[in-house]
Amino acid sequence: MNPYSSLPNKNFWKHFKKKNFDLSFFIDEETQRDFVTKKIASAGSCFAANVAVHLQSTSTEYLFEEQKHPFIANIKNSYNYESYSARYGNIYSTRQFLQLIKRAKGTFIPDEIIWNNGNELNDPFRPGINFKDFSESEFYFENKLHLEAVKRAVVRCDTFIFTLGLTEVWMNKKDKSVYPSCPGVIAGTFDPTKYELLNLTVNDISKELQEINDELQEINPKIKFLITVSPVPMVATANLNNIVLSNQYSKSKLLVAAHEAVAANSNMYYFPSYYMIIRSHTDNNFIHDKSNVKPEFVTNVMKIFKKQFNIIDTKTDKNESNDRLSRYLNDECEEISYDKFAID
Amino acid sequence: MSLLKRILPLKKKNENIVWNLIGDQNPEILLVGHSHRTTMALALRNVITSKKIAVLMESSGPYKIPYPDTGYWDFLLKNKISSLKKIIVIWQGHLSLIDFLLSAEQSYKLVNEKNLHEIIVSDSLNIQSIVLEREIINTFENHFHNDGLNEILRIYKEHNYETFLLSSPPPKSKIFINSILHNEVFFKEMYDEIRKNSINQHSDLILGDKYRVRIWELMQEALQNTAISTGSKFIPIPKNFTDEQGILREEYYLNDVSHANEMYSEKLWKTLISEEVI
Repeated sequence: MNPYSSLPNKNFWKHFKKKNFDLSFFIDEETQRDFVTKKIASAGSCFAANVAVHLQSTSTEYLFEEQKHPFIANIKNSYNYESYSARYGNIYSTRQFLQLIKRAKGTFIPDEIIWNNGNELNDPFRPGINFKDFSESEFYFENKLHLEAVKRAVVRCDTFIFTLGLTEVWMNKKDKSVYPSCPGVIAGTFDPTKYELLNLTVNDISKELQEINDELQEINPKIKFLITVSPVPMVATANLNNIVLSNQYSKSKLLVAAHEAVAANSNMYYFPSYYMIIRSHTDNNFIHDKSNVKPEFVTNVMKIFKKQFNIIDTKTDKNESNDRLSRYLNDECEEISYDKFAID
Repeated sequence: MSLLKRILPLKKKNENIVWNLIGDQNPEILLVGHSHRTTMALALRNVITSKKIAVLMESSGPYKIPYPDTGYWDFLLKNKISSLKKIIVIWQGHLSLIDFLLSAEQSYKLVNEKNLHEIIVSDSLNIQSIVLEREIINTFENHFHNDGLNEILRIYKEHNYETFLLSSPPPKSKIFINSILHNEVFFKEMYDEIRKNSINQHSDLILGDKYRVRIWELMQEALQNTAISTGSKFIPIPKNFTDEQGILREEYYLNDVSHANEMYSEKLWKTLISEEVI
């Protein structure tokens, strides 16, 4: 008798191989037995947009707390309206998410809420949103509505899903605000005396995940916090390492911190979409750029997600899901903006 | 090969439709555009002027109003009219009615620079009932751009024509719309569909006059912005075409939800000519 002799099949690689590396291997039966969710909100890096798309028309309600008003329902470009539970765009890092919750609660007010270059206004925290012809007072008003919507999403959901994406973060040296993309890339002006690059450590991420969970619970004591790690590689690194090394380093830190945070909190869960995509039976899960995951594979991963968390499809419109995702990736992913600086 | 091939959303050329000029056959001024062109063409008969004016219509007669296809917008680029100097474009006035005719049981709070200070954003406020007027204007501009208006104005400018963008007719009263809705195939279907899906099937779904006027005004602002951005002149509807509430005067109603009649178009031509707008 030894510790291995009584372990279940799931603990052995041989069993994973025997199951032909099938995704159903990843279903955790214990969680599946107990997990009930009726209202889901989500945020995260661009891979997280899949969640909102795939949870439409299911037994759970995906919360959109900041929707387009019917007056502007026919707008062709969604302007980040339907990607997540509120109109925050991509949230790549734990620091950015923590900052957003604090801003929604009113416990953190950044020094720079608006970038105004005289011709146009931009939101440093949502640089992808078009504020064409907005006055400053209209901008501030919209900002208030946005932050209220963020708070409502946390209050109303029973499960909040957050996908961790990056560890490299651009930070304002003075007030320590962090931005989804480097100032000057999509909006704003880069000034090395004002902004600096930060590479979050495992310790930073673990601590911030704990803080996020505490903040979420303070707003909504019954909330479940579900985290995933994006399998989509970094578009660019501002560190000295090459992109492959930086990416691996970054994903490793995120994975370690995610596991540690889940182990320390009974209301936190981890969904292994990262491993499913990296470790499944096929090596061909990414589209030709080896960066974005093929929609059909995302659908398979989300099927496992639904099984894991007892979510039932009520209607499937695969084409609509794929259309929305490709529109999202083309129009709204902030990090993809770094790509234009790569010399062919 | 279309000269406007870059405009993807425009309707493909329909080989069965032949476009031609109504009015002067060697015009200096040509009006082109969507359905409101029809009464503008009819009204030309009663406009006495030294100006050489025409409207681009279909040869099957001005009462049939097929949606302008690629061949329509190409017409004057392919058939060089040597006399032509000015082009007036009239664009999709029905947008303000189709998208904003029905209230769908939503409440509205239109917010702009002037009134936003009165609104306190709080937990209890249903923030989804608030819509910033600036976003409505941007939505209209997006519509126009995606449907090809900017491209059409740009390419006409490129061919050295002076371009104008003419405002669309103001909205009609809710009382009138309710009285003719049963005859309107398109709007009636929309109305019935929304009523079927609404919680309270007996509620009044037509948006009030005040809101439709305001949305029409925002559409005018979007048209004006589009005109400015393409180097065109915007022609607003003169104030005396509407009542005090901004609703189109009843004598100018055509018997449908959105169009103005020949008398409206005649007065509009006369105003534009006498005030030397064109």
